[in-house]
Amino acid sequence: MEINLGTKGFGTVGMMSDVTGAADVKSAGQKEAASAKIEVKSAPLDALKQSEPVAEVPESALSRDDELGRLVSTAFCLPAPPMPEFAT
Amino acid sequence: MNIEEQYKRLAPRLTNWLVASGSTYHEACDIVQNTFLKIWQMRDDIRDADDEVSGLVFTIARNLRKNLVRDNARLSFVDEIKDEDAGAVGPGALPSDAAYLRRRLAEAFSKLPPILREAYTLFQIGELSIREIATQTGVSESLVKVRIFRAKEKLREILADLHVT
Repeated sequence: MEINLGTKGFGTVGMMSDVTGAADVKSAGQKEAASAKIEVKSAPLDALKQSEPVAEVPESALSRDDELGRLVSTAFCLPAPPMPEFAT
Repeated sequence: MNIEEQYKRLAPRLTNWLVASGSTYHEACDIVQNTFLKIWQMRDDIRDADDEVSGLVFTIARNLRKNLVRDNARLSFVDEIKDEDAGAVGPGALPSDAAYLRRRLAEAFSKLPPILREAYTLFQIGELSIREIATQTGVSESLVKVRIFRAKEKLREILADLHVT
């Protein structure tokens, strides 16, 4: 198809365009190939990261205000340091 | 961005999260102040959304803490906080109660796998939302919930003598 456009009289510009187009296609293809490779390589890592069982946790089990949460809040209520003086 | 409001909102949470994560109180104070100095330097680029500021604050603090731990090559769970530093405690509790609980909890946290400890302490002490923790830790919100749930279960086992439910 690229050769046909060139031979129908688009001349140098047509040919250049074709060449550029072809180069772009090739470049895009290479990018796809590269990203495909990355996907293949990262798949085991993702699988490893997500290998923990993910089950539905009821919202009630995530309360901050249960006995354990209150204990933690009681223990970790240290005062913050004074705010630093910001240069204006 | 009103940095004073953000400091009042986030500095206590950040200080306590750092202590729960193994920093000494004095290290935590240094990290909190340095974190907000960095926030101040970046203030023109930060939107005022609370979620965005808290995410950024905790990210900077985590990195500063990592650098400090790496430089000191240690991560201490020893409670070096004096009772008078403990300041405000829960109603009816004495500072010494808080110091004891903090020591017990710090020991319990140190026995948790790091991914569970991080999720739970960011949730309970850092008061970050599930979504913010997911962003911080790079995992799904569902996995964050599971980690918090598992951390709570393990903490209840470790602290069984305190009869925590």
